[in-house]
Amino acid sequence: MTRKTLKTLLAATLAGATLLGSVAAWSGVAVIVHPSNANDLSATDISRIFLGKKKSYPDGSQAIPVDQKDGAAVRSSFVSTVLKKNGQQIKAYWAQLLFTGKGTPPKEVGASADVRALIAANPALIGYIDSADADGSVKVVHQF
Amino acid sequence: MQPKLLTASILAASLSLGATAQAADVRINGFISVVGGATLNEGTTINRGVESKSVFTANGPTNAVYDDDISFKPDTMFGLQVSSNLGEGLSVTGQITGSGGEDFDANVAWAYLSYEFNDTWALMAGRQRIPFYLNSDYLDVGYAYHWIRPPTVTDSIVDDFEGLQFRRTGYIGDWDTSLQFFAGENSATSDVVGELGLESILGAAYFMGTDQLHLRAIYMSAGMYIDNLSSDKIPGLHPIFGPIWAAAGFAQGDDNPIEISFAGLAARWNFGSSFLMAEYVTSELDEPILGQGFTGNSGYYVSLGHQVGLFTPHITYSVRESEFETTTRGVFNGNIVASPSENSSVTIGLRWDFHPSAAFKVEYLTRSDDSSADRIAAKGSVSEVDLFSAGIDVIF
Repeated sequence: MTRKTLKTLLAATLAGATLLGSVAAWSGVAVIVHPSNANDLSATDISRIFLGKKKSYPDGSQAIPVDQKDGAAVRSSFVSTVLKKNGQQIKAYWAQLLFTGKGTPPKEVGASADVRALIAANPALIGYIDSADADGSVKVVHQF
Repeated sequence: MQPKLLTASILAASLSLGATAQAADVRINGFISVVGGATLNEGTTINRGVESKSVFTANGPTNAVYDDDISFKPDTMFGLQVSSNLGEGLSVTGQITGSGGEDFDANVAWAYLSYEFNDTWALMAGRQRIPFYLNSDYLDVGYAYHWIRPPTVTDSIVDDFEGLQFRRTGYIGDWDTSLQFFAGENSATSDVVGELGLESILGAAYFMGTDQLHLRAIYMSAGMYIDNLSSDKIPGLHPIFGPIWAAAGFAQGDDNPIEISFAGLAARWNFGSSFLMAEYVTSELDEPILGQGFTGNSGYYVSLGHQVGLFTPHITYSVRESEFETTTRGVFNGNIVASPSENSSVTIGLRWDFHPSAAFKVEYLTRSDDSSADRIAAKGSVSEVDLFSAGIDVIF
């Protein structure tokens, strides 16, 4: 039920974005993990991991999120669609956690190709890339 | 160069990446707020028969006071934080802050170690913030909220404590939940009123929230005292009788704390590009604090903001009421008026996120003194003041 609501919401948001014609030259966003990661991840799980609320996958293994660099179109899309925040809100969110020692933002590792290469080599990592950049070296767990 | 300061520090901290590399991370982050302001219209304050213009205290009980001369001190603030994740759930955090109201004397705001037993339970030990208010944790970090300063109804005489805190985080469906238990003590020396302390602090706070709605409740009890008051610590204290009052035990002393209880409720609702925040707080002292006759206060604020691109215009209404009673030693102090003081204020402001790591803010606050007629007759319209302030908040 929850997941369905979220999916509907995701679809609606994406449809809205497409209608507005504000989508830049990327084909979509794929959330990816290491091929050996067998966890079934909902959009809520992904959001919690990227907001520092959850530090492990449903199977109990460690989860480490990685961000693309600030300003990347894929990142803005991921932040608004999955994390449901805009650029200023996500910065303020991390400032609130950072200066109370409660959490640190995900590490930034460059563009889609860098994220894919890192994730292909580390089962703990989770990231998001341009759908067009997804290949057999990683597993897509969510796409929008 | 595209990378901004925040980005650069994150990159520096992430030079080595991997499951084991976390142990080596030492992060250095900081924040600075530079704010200037002045009062525009002000009421009259009567202190022992002497009339003066009312002022705006941005952060009591320090010298963070605005008057009709423009000042950059009251809300100007810096902080530097060093934290390290040692791996296996253990991390350390230290934060040094300095504020204009305390002449930029460096102050250790945070110094604690945190141990996460698992995804659910964590223990924090050391010097940390008392979670009085919705914004307490990041009170000093102007960038983290829309105002230049949170409403003064959420301003405490003591911000931090030394002790232990257990935190349990979890989920109920789509709701994130957090339960905090904390215990400890604090003493702080203030230029204005001498030594202020809280002993036997014991409290609990509960938070639950979704992306749209945040709800929070807190209850705390402690023993409160004021100590080491002397005539030169209290502005306007009588030069002859002042020392006599001090000698007569004008202050409570740490051997004789007054039981204080504090409770608060807060909510934040994010809808579309808008947000609505509301917070109610109340504190009560078992007996009036000596020299002041103060027995507690309560108040609330409601704040509405709307984000349009990089701009966030906002409006806040807040009310604060303080209770006073004549104390057993009230005979020494002809200045106590045993009726409530009350004020209400409206703040209109604009936040402009002109840079990814910095925000410019401008605010106009108008506050009226709604105290009883006998209080205004005796003490003046102390709270009546209009304040204009503008500043920049940066995080790095």
